[in-house]
Amino acid sequence: MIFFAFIISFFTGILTLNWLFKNSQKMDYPLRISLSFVFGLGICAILTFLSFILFGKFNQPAIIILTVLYLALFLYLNNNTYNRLYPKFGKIKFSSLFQIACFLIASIAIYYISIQNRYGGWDAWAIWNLKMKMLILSNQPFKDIFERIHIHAHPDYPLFLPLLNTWIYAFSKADLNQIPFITTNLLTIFCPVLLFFGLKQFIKHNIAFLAGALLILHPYYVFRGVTQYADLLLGIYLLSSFIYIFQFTGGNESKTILLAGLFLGIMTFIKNEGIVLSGLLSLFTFLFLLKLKKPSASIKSFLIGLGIGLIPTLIFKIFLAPSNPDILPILSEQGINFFKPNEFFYVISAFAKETLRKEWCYTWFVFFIMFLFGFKKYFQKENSIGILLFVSYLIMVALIYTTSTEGSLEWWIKTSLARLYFALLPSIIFYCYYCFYRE
Amino acid sequence: MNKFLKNLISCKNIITLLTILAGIFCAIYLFVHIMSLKQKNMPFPQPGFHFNGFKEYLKNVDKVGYLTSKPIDSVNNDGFYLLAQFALAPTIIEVGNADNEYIIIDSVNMAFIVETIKNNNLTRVTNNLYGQALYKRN
Repeated sequence: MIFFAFIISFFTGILTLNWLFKNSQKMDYPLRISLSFVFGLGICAILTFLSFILFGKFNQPAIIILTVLYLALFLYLNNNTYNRLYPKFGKIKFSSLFQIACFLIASIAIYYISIQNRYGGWDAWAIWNLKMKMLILSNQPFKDIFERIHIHAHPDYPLFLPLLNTWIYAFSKADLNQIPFITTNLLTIFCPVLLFFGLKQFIKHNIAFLAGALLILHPYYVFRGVTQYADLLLGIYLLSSFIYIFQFTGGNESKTILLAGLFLGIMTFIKNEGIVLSGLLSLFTFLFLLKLKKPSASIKSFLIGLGIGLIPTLIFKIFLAPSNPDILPILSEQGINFFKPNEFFYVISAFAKETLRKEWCYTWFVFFIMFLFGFKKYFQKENSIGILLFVSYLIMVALIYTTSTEGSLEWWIKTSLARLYFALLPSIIFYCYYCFYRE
Repeated sequence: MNKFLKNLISCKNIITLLTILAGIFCAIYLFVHIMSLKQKNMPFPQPGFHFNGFKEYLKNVDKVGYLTSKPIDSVNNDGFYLLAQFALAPTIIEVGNADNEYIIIDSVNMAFIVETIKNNNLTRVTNNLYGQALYKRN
């Protein structure tokens, strides 16, 4: 039944994207399908959020009715474009079968590792899965989550992942421990597939496969992926945004940049880190769009998409969630005095040290050598968006670390730095291979 | 021949080779990890399983106090308190609040336990094998 819920979620995504693009989208079928899956997850989480706003607590019929109404509306809107939904298979090559076999074997390995970590890591059960339980079982879930449960559950964190799991529960009534386990497994296997299809759009098939294989075989990606944290979802949305942004630069199609904005907006509903990432990537994309010959239509589409995607987060942050206890109050009360330059440089050195940890299997070196060999390519036209994002994001993280009071700096770095890298990893692989191999 | 060699050692080929090597290294690391997991054959208990026996007494109970003599801080992952919160949700667990009808005492310190029971006029409802017990106010 959990898989049935994922199929429904997929249909919400594909019908919406199909209606948006009608006959204009120049994108491979598998990539379109993959991005529809990602988009569907967001729609379902937002529909669940809407049901909670309307009824104040878990209401299974309401969630199902909202989803059915959404599907019915988009089935109606897609009236004349169903032919675009059918898969178009070309001649199946031996290499494609080999690649599918490799991904299947890796998926079995991921499943095996995940059953050793069935209930997820500390953050998973103490934060995300606890919130899912509260959403489903409590009579006053928002009050319990925002005011009554312990501060370590980060009451201010957006609720995309718990809401998505709640939506799956509404359709499957499955065991509460089983839902995040299956969600995580699917997403961990899915992200490298998305990376592969995304890269295949721009570079040679075999190189795209190597990049996808590097991610699905990456031990740290797999270990972190199956811990049931929201960072995986963040990584998938960031990767999807990158794919849409670079897809836009290839064809200047305003609907593509609208979707990039939409994905960036929805990304803010996953985690607070998503707000920072989305803000920075939106800024650099906006600056890139300004440089276009006729920027107004693209900028308009981008801002519309971003605005729509931001609505759930704005409602959440303005009307529901308490303020972040670690960062904003400190900045407003003590201002910049709290910032210590020596600690800032300590954090920067910690960033470098993290890449040397053996769990990362020295893959950062490969990306670094790629960067050195293709140095100029990383700063050409739209490519500069990526490098600006990654550098400015790490600087922002260093600033947040050095202006936060909870725990020592060592504790912050130890508990969160690897997760930040993990969320960036799929996008960094995509970006490096895109810049280096694209003719 | 020179052209062939030049093509062979082009930047792109070097990076492709490095990617393949990195992929092989990752695959070996992953394989070794899986084998070590298989050898260890460790159990994977549900977080907070210690408190499963308390659930039947706490149906429809809004909140429970949690009194402990153990350290509660983020460095120690807040001990058993967070596990109790996860296992017993949606019941809210309030650390240090002795005013609730139900109270969990988490301690192996007999003096602390006896004093808490006396001061709050409590009767034991049930306990587990891990040093926690559920009490009800008389």
